[in-house]
Amino acid sequence: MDEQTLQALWLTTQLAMATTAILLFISTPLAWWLARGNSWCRSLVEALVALPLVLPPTVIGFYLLIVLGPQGPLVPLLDWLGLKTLNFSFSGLLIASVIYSLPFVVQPLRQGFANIAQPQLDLAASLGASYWDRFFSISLPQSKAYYLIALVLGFTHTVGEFGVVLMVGGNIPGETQVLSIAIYEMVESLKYQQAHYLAAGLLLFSFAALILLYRRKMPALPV
Amino acid sequence: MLSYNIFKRPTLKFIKSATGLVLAIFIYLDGQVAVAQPTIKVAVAANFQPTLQRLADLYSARTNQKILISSASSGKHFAQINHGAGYDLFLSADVKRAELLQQQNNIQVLARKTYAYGLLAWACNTPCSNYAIQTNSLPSAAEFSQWDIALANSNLAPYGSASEQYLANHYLKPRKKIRAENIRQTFQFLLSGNVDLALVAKSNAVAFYSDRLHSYQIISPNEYPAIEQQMVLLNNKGLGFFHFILSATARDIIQLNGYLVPAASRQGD
Repeated sequence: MDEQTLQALWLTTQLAMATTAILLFISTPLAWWLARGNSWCRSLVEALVALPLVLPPTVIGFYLLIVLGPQGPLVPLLDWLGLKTLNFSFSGLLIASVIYSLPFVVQPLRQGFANIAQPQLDLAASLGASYWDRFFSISLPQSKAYYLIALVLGFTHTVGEFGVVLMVGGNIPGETQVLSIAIYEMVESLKYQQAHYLAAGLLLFSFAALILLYRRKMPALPV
Repeated sequence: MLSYNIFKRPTLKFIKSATGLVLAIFIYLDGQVAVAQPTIKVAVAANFQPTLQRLADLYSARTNQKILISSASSGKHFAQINHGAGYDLFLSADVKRAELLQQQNNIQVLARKTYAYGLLAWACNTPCSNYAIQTNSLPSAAEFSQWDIALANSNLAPYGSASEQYLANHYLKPRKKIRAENIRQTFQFLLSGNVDLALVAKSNAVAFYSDRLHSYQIISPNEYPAIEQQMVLLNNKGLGFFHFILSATARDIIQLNGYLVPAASRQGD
């Protein structure tokens, strides 16, 4: 493997790890609220979260190009950060990935939280367990399997991201040139041999990750 | 039993009539296709697509032949043709892929010709003179290093390698190089305001200038390696259109759309 490929590999790993970490953090309260809250706007938020599942990456890429750029609504923030645009940078890709992989993390967690029996929580409450105590001692351990699903799907889906990165990445080695883009570039420039190595590697990785997931006795995947 | 049920008389009758209907539709469609003139299928490099559309409209009007245009990067088209895509004519953005196709054992290339030379231009969001980019004048390297520029990826697009060569020849190092997957994507980055400047195809700048682009400046073709674009004839069905693209009429149109045309070529050749 040449330096550029290694760089792409490392960059993709960093991006997927950071994206998954952020997603697990923000998805936990969001999924909890979606599963157990009964606000009138629940279905609205749920639809919003699921949008990346059905929208073509071109739509997301197009709007990110505008929203994260110097003609978008984030200009005050960009000025404060001293940046002209968030596109074509690692931070921009991170924002894009978090949006794009959101449903893959929120939906398993939501299902896990929905499965927790309310009487059990009520009983714990009657014995004096606080809200947080109930969450950390009952809800979280019971949702472990769903956290694993969310982790694997969030990570692999970020690794597999292509269309959005093609539109807001700018293909900068070491900064935005992720694996999928590197493979695309190899195929387009007729370097089929190199493309085969990376493509087969990615195929095996994703396959292995999914086998790991399905090997455990688990309820059907929500996505 | 299930196997018995399937062959019960009413079902059999239904299968018979359905088969008859499907056959009738096929025969009808077949007749329709046979009546029309054969369609010419053309694969074209993304940069030349708007120009080819003009040529195709003119040719169709003259000969009553339909032309189906598929526009993509030449790398993609190369892979498709190499794997059996039935194009009659392929207009590549470079010489390399046209030549490579000729060397493939499974592909029959009937003819290969240069149809145009691409030209580079600077495209700017504010007047190009703001960036000291004017005819016969270049920004200083110090000024240049403050700007983000978009250019085509040199591994994917011949315009990209010409752009890189141009920058290297003049020791110009931008703050950040945003690499578009094809020459047209540079406009996406420029028009959305994400970059200050872009190295673009003159043909695209000409097409965009009137409505969206603020200003552009053509770069002298002596300052970068020639962007020679070749086409290959893959099926005799495309022969007429192949000749038309090389004709004097077509050459004028190609030039008007922001390209140079090959010098030595007889009319109708």
